Amino acid sequence: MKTSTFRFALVLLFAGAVSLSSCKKDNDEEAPTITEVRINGQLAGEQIHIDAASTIEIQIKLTDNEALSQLKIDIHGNDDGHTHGGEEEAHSGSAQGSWDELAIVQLTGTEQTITRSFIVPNTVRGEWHLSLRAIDSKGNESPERLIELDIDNDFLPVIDVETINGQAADMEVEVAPLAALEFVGVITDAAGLTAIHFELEANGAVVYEMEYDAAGAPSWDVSTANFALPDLGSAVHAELHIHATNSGGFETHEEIELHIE
Amino acid sequence: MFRLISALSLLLLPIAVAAQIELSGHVLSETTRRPVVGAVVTVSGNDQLNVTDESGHFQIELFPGRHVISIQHLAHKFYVDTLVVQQNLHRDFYLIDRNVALASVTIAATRAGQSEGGIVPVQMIPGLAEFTSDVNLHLGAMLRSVPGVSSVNTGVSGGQPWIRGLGGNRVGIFVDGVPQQNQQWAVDHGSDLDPWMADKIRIYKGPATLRFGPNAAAGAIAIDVPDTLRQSAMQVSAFSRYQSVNDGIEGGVQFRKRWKALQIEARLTQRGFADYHVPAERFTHLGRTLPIREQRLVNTSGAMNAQQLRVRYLKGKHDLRLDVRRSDQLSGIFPGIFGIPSVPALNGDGEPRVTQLPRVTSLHQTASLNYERKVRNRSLSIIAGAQQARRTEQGPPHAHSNAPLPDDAIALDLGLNAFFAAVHFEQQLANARKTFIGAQAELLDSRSGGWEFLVSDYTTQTAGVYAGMEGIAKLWGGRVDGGLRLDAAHTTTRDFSQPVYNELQEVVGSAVLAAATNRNFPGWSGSVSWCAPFKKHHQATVQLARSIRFPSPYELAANGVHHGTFRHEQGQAQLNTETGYQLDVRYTGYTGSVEWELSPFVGYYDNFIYLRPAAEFSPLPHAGQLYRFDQSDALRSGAELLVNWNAFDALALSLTGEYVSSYNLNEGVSTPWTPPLKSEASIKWLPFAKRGSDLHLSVRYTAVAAQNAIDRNEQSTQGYQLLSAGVGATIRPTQAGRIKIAAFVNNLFNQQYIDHLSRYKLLNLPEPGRNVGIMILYEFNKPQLTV
Repeated sequence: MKTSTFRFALVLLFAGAVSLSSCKKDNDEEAPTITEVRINGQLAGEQIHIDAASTIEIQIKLTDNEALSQLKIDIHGNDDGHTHGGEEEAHSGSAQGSWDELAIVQLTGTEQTITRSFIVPNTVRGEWHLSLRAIDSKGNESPERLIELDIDNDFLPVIDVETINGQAADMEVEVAPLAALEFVGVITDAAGLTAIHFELEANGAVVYEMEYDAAGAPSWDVSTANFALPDLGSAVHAELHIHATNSGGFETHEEIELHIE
Repeated sequence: MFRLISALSLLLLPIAVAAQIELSGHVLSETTRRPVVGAVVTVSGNDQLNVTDESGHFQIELFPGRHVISIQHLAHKFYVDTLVVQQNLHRDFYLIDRNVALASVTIAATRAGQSEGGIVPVQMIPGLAEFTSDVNLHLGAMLRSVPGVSSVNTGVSGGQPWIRGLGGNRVGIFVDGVPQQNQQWAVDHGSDLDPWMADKIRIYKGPATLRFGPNAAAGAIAIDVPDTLRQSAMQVSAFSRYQSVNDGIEGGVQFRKRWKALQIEARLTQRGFADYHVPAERFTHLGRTLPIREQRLVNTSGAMNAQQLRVRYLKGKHDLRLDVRRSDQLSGIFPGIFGIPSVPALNGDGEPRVTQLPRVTSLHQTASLNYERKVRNRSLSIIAGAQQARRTEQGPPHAHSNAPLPDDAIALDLGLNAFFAAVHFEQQLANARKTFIGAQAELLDSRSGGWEFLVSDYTTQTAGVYAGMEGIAKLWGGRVDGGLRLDAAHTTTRDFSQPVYNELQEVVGSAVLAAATNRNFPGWSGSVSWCAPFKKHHQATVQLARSIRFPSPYELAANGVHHGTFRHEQGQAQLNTETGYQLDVRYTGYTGSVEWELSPFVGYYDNFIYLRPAAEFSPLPHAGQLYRFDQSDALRSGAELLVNWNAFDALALSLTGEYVSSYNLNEGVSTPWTPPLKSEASIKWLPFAKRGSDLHLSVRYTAVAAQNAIDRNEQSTQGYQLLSAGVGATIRPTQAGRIKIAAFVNNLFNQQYIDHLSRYKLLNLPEPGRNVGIMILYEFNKPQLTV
């Protein structure tokens, strides 16, 4: 074989590959932009306060260099402490009650303003997330725009358990088997509390349960509910559920994670 | 029948047989009596390059007279002798071992110049027979050390081999000639093939449709039967392994015995593993960032067991093989990717070895019958295979849009029956030329159930015929091979509708998730290659191929969340046949201690099928953007480099490099999942080689570049470097028995990195961290193995 022929073929091969690879088309890789979000007319930053049992009007302005296609509006509660956008800060979720909204809105043109209204239920309170994403006609997806909705609710009792055996109750609490649980905190409601219910669940079964009559009092000391753990063994994961009901019939529920070892 | 096919072949390709005689035989190791694969046999006065095949066999046409025969192989001492050959002669040659340290990937087979009718060959890596730490949890990871081959991780316990950045239905996996059809419900479900059962592997990098059909448009992985045993020989092996990354424990036994014409092989393997360790504190899915408890992916444990029985009848010209295999897998699905992720679901059960919901079960059973008959210069092969596969994806029952809650955990229940038949005929001609002709047919019938929907029921029938010749002509000192193939496929997918419920859970209508399709796909493919030795010990191969690939039923009719990619994937019923035109160049050479291979390629694809982000969101609440199969023209190019240097008898160095560029010509972006530039250097040292000890130490350094050539919305990944090491030795307690022990540590510095080809990059989840393992193999041979 003549090596010159081989070298020629090799050079030809790479020259062809490079020249073809370099003929890049005019391409749209630019994602749409959510330029402005207003809630009830107020420019929304990272967080906004809203009231339960109210109607919120969300106004979203979007642009794209070629053509907008869809907007996704997702409202969900943060009951598990998740974050968005890869944030490292972990915290316990404060959402109480159930409320989810999911809407996909068709878009056209390069600029559009969308307005949508949602009714906030009177059974929810705490941290909710408004997540917005947009897609253009090429499939480019915008980064997520996230706004924290901090929902105030005067209809529901407020359960505030600060510590259990000296440990903060908003994270998982480590306790020894058969330990006595000592609570610090208070449950309040302006309309008056009627009933407080404690329930301990482990291994898929309810292992302790106690109902207290609050007799219409505006506040109730949680230390009233101190109790000793039943024999559950070691290395057990348990959940303590606290339910508080007020005179209006509204109920608040809080869940506290226990690790028994 | 045999004569009919023979006559037909000769009619198609009439060649005059020259009046020469034949020297044939085997090249064997004097120490082990095993075949020496890839030994170069040369005879004075004959400029052909003859290389021994998997059984050490060679065959040379020559004129009667005195000839100097020389045999070269990297791991053995040079052999030279003078022979007087007056008539056809069969003789075996024994080479003396050099105790050299060899790289785990050899390029011996690429020297063969046997292009199998235009398909550029092959690299071979060992399985259980060589027992290296490269034998990994799944086939894809095991092949990753071959430049140009990567593994797409579709979950922590599953992986699929990709060749030059292409996989799925573009890379066929064949066991003793039968295409493996166990995961045909998505384009990237991992192969469940037990890597311990893969003794001999041929890897076809580049279009291999001529021989294997449209499902090998980007390459093929052929797992061959192991060497035959000598009369009355018996081999018993048992192995066990532990690895720390998932506290995995596995073990297996193998028995092989030959009684006169009958050979029996039986294998059993069992594996159990706990939740995987990952060097990460959190992950992100559907925009939500959630914690990973104790750097462990909960519920990624699992188990696997596999059995194989092969009965082989070898008598004279006949070789009949019945192969029955079964593989049963259970793997947990990380709950962070099943439905909307939430912290309580990620707490786990505190039992890292218990596999809870969500999880996947996969059962694959195959039976194949392979008959080969060789008569002097002709051979006939007939293959028939049947396969049954079932996959279930199970999860906590849930429902959407007022639908009633399901009463079981079976989200998806997918079943597939596959039947395959093939016939292949070859005839050796004068001057090492060969003609071949063959036909293949396959039927796939799939049914799906469960309370989720991913792909419709479908039936696909394919058939193909091919013919070709090695040595069509001599050109520029080389040989031209080539062949043509015609294929046709008929695919029907059934429609699927889901009931629509009102708030009272009454059915008020139905929603069509998939329309019925009925498509015919005809097409042709072909390949021509030119292969020439030049100078001394150098060889160049150039292959030009036209490949086709028919759209799979999944690409035509899918519509649901694929839990392997965490995305809503949707088929498109109008997809057409993908056609590729690829030019491959392979340059191999060696001196006394260095061998190398450079393989550049460039290919143009018409109607290249890929999954593109659609301009819409999935209507499902637990899915983000919709991904839909689409077609575009594409240009792909790249190269691989492999250099092995046996610096001294006891020291081997290996350097590999690979690069792929894949460009979507219509969209002006890269195609998704393009492998990044990668280079690997390894050293293997046998400090006591002169004393006959195979105690070896090895170190491997891997450098992977950042990948910024990405598709629309695809995440780029950063570069990383990894260091791995291993040690191994053989103990011979008795004449017939030997114990091999090896220990390894992969990712020595517990580097946190994201594999660009891993589906887990969508979750910002790094690959598993440091992995320490130990393996032990006991092998008993009586007498020693040979052909």
